[in-house]
Amino acid sequence: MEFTKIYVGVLYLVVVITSLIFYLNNYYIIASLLILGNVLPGYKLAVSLSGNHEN
Amino acid sequence: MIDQAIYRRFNHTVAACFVIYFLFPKYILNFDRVYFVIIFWLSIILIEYFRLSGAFTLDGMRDYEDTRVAGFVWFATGTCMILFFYEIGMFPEIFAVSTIIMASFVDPLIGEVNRKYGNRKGFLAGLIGSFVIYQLIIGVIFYAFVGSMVAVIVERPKFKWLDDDLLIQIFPILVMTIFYFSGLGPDLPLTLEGN
Repeated sequence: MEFTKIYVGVLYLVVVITSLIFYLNNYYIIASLLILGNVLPGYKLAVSLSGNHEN
Repeated sequence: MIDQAIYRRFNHTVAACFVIYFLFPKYILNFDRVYFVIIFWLSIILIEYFRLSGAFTLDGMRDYEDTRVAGFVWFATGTCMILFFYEIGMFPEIFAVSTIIMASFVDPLIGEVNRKYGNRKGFLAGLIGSFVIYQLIIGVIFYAFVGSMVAVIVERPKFKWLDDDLLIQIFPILVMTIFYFSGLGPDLPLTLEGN
């Protein structure tokens, strides 16, 4: 479980850094897509990891 | 306990970040960047070999993947194939970038909508999602329509030894490329810079 938490943390970082690089290279649509496509599953996973299940 | 389904979805959507490859320099440490694609793919195969042999377990696996090649292997194979064929000049950059992003987001979208609202709405959500992504990146309605139609059609059938994670990448880009190079499809800028 500890490894999974670290791995998920790395994935969050990958999304942020990749989006930032695309944004800085003026590829705004791709940067936005990367953020928008990951924000909901990323949020849901963060809730799941914190142990606050909806149901 | 982590929600395995959400964990699997997030791994899937993060795979869109593979497109950072297109911003890499052609040569890294004097090696053509395509070699890193091959090394990456072989690493995935090695991990899967040890997982299937029981050396370790991974979170987010489906029950039937205990004895079958996992979805992440199929997805990585599809992405590596796209990157390889792009490098040898077969697939245009704009199709490669848009297809990798589309497949990363649309496959889990279809899965979630199928689960909550049924297959027909899953199909519709996949069609709209893939069309929007293709249109935003490629900017040509013809290719957005063709790519999204092919993507949702090949996502439907389930095979034991061939996964939709691979098909949803290879078939749309292949069909769009055939339309483009045959002259049946409209002209478009083939690189990210052109858009």
